Amino acid sequence: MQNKLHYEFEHQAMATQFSIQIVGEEYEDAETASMLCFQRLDALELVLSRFVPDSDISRINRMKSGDELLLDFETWDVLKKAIAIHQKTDGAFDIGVAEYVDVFRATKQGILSDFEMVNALQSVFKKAQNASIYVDPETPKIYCVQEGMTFDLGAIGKGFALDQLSELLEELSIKNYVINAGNSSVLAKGVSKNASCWSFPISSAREEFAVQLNNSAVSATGTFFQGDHIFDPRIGQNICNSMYERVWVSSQSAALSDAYSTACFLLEKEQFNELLQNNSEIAWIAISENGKIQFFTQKNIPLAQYLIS
Amino acid sequence: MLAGTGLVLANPFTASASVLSANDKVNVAIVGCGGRGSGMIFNNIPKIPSANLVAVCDIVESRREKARDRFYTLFDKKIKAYENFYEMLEKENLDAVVLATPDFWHMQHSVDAMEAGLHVYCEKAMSNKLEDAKKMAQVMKKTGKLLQIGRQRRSNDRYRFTHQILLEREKMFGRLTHAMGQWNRSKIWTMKPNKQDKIDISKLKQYGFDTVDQVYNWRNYTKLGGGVVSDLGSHQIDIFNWFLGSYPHTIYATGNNSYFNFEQADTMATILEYDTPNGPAIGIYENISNSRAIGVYERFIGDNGAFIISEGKDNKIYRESRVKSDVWQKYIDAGYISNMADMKKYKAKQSGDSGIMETAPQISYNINEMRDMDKVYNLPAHTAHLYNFIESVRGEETLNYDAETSYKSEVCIYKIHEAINAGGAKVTIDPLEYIV
Repeated sequence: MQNKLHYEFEHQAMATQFSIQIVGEEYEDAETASMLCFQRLDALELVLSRFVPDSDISRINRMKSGDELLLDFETWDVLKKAIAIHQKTDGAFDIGVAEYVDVFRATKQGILSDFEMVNALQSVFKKAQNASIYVDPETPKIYCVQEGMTFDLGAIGKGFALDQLSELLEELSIKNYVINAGNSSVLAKGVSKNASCWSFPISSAREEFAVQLNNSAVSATGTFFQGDHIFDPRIGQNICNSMYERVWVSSQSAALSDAYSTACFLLEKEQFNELLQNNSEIAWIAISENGKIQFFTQKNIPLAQYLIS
Repeated sequence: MLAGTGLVLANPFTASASVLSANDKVNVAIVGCGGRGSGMIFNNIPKIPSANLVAVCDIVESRREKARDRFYTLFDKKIKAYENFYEMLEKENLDAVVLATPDFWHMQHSVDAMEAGLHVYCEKAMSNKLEDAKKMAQVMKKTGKLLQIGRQRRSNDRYRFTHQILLEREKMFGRLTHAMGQWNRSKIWTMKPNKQDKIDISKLKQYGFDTVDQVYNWRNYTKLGGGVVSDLGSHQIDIFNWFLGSYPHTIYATGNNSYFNFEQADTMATILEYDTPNGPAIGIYENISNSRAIGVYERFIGDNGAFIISEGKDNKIYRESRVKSDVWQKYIDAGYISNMADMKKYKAKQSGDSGIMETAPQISYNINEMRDMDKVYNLPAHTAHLYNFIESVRGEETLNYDAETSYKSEVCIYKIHEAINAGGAKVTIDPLEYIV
């Protein structure tokens, strides 16, 4: 398996940088596959971004009470996944946070004073408490029974996009690849250039581990790039001191690893084992706390299975 | 107090009609299962209850079979897959065809379909030859069949709102003096067949292709497509014409293929001179194929304000300082636009009265609610444009962009080609040239 062909391609989308590494394919096949992936990524962004006014998400966010809307298949799919994870994490994962984010942004820009921000957050929370949005389980359709909730897919969209690209690469018979969304979600399949699987470092101030991704994804959520203020959708407020420096979650699906890593950032360590027990799709959770990394795995599966020694 | 249920997976009503089960449908086939054709099959058609997809057609076996099979998987509906357009017309009971094929096929398929009694939705550009585009419009008029051209911004709610309410009715921006536009992309990608694409070389010539590369990268060949000006520029220059309410009388243009060395220009710039109903205006347009930075948008400058509009994230409205804010307040009160990122509802006091703090950002505006329109589709633009066509076939609407209107913008595009091919010439256009 020496001297395997290995090519990497980059593309800006979803306010970050995506990259695709493809191993064992001729350059032209790898380039065509990456081009199709990036076209797919751009198309997904146009459907899923709330900052694109014609997207499905923007149109959902403009729905009034009594409105219904037909959705793209992908929008329907990601909303169903988001609802499932919202329920499994008792609301720690929530895509209904768009207006909170807008309030924070307006305060940073000086449009709202700090005092106005606090009142605005309470108002948004109250509206969201009264809102009712139904996603049809049978057809790609959404109903707004009571308006007052607006969606932002920032905590699942990039992972979902990686899953979609992975599906496309499989269709193109590309078997060995890693797709990376701004280093916060990585999905790997098959073999890397030099080994039988892909490996990536995860590190804290005092430790570093190499985790192996064997047909799986890992996502991170942390304070390093976003500051120490973490929004908790369950109470509609910021938590000023987060429990962890960073959280990583691994799953076969990047949409799930992306969403669960966001939720786990708000969960107590004691809740992780229960979450793992009830959700077999999560392979492992890791946290960085006071510079030390601690792993949580499914029962009876040793941590060594996921680490490169 | 009403307690909400939040976001749930359920149907709030007892019965729900299937997306694909409405009566009185238009039987339609989609020709071309590449990028645009796939979008129509999987994203546009399923959102149009009155459209009944019965068949797809593509000369690449794996593409048409994949489309057929995936449609069945996603929507539980069987459709036929054809290699030959004419065999499909003969065997299927169609009301309309949708053409998402290379430009050089558009005229023949459109004309033959209309003369066979079918309505046609044809992707832009109308053709890679101006005389063919003219023939398409002529046959539309002669047969009385519908021929909609796929410049979907014409059915985009925000573009229509901007034209119909902000520009035509409210004259919010005063006299428009400049239209600017650009479409920047990082490269002209060239595609190779997918591993599983089964290409029968002997069949290619039968369908007008000399090589496999021509099938996948037809836009790069002058005999098959129109190049960047047709592919990209025609969308946006059409918006210049629409919003300015006229067509250019003079064109200056230059361009070259120095970056990628394909047959078609990869870089171009043009200046268009207009005599609009409100006075002279100029359009400035560019295509860049080696940098995606600063994106894709149209920008219009008037003496009372300006706006950027796009199908992406770049959308903003600016008030000229000479226009007092209370003059534009009526547009805010009417719900047409919002300012301060729509945060005013959370302000206890007027802007500027919340205390002395960090520098406030420049005030700009966004489209808020598209009120007082003749119709709001509330669909993605490609879907809305196809929906408008299907509903026009049913007699419920009239076309937003028929071939005669489209032809006028195609004239501009071919005059730009003419100027580029002449090494950067000035070209004047007789008003009679715009008439079919």
